Amino acid sequence: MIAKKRQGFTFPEIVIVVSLVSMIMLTIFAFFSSGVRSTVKGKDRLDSIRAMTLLLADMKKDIANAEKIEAENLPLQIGETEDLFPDDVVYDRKVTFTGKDGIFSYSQGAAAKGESSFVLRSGKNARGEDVYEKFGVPRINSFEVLHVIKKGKFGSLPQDFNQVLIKMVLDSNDPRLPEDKLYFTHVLVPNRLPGSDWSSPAEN
Amino acid sequence: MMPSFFLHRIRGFSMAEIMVAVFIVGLIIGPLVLLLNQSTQKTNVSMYLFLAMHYADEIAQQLQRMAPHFDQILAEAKDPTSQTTPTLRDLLMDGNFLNEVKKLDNNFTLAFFQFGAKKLQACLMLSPMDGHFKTRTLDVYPLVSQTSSILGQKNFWKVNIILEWKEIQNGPTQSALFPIILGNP
Repeated sequence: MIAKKRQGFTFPEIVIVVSLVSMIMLTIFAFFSSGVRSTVKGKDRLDSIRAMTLLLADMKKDIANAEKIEAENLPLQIGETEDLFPDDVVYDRKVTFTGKDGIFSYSQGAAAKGESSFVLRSGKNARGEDVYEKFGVPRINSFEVLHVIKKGKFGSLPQDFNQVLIKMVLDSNDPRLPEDKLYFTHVLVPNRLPGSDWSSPAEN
Repeated sequence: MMPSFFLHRIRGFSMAEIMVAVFIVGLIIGPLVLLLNQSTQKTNVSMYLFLAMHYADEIAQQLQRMAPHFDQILAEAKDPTSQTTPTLRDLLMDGNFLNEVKKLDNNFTLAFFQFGAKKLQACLMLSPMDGHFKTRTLDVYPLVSQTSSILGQKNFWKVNIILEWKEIQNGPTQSALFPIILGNP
């Protein structure tokens, strides 16, 4: 009786078992694969947002202390009666804030050919020391800024509302996510611009 | 001689045994998949929360910078023929103003303060939001302070900046609320 039972599995049995196991394994793999991919993508985007947050924190601090803002082009002026933001605006690639803490420029740093790059904060601090910091290495696909002066009034007082608009595109740092980009925009406002500060009327 | 246990095993597994085995495997794998999905979900929530925080921050910064001038803005909003003076809540909760704040655009927008049909001179500069975001709005409440003499007889307002988004097109709406306190003389 034992000899009879030790014949082993038949070919159809093995085929059925292999098919069943494959189906189960494929389902589990699909679940895990999509889960892992979403997690990797989410984590990568969080890293991009963290890089952008660090950059913005420094820019916010520098613009808050800025007594002068200089970009490659003159500021975009939006008149008192204009209520639409123009569509055909040329953004700058570099902006410099001069204030009591020093002179700091922000621009997109050059990287090796074919690679994403970074935002470079460079200049001199109040003690005359050189400052050279890289942000978002190597995620920054593009970095554009625009100094805007919106002419307006607080009641009857003429007022220049200065702001710096930032447009950034951040690339994924993961080779498995080549097309994953994060588009980000932000508005920063200065605190100390003389004559055209939000807190004091414009000189006109 | 082979033990009786093995003799029995050689005959194969019964349906009940297989069911129990599958159930146990399910018990192990199920929570793992659930855990992975939850982790992904939390990561996505953090990501949109970060973005919402930045969008709220630009509104908060501009409102706080304007706070010392709210009286001038309110004076401009006041209808000279009317006895009623608008409050900061009237200004920030104006339907036309909120429609401009809520507007979803691909470019930067100017949201002008309005009162009734009257458009005022001051405005907020707002950046375009990520495509997953559906709403950006404000809610304003007066704060009654027992210590107004210490705080310089100002009127204080709690302004909630509310952002709503959907992680997936047909998914549930998520929201975040960022409160700021504004005072006007």
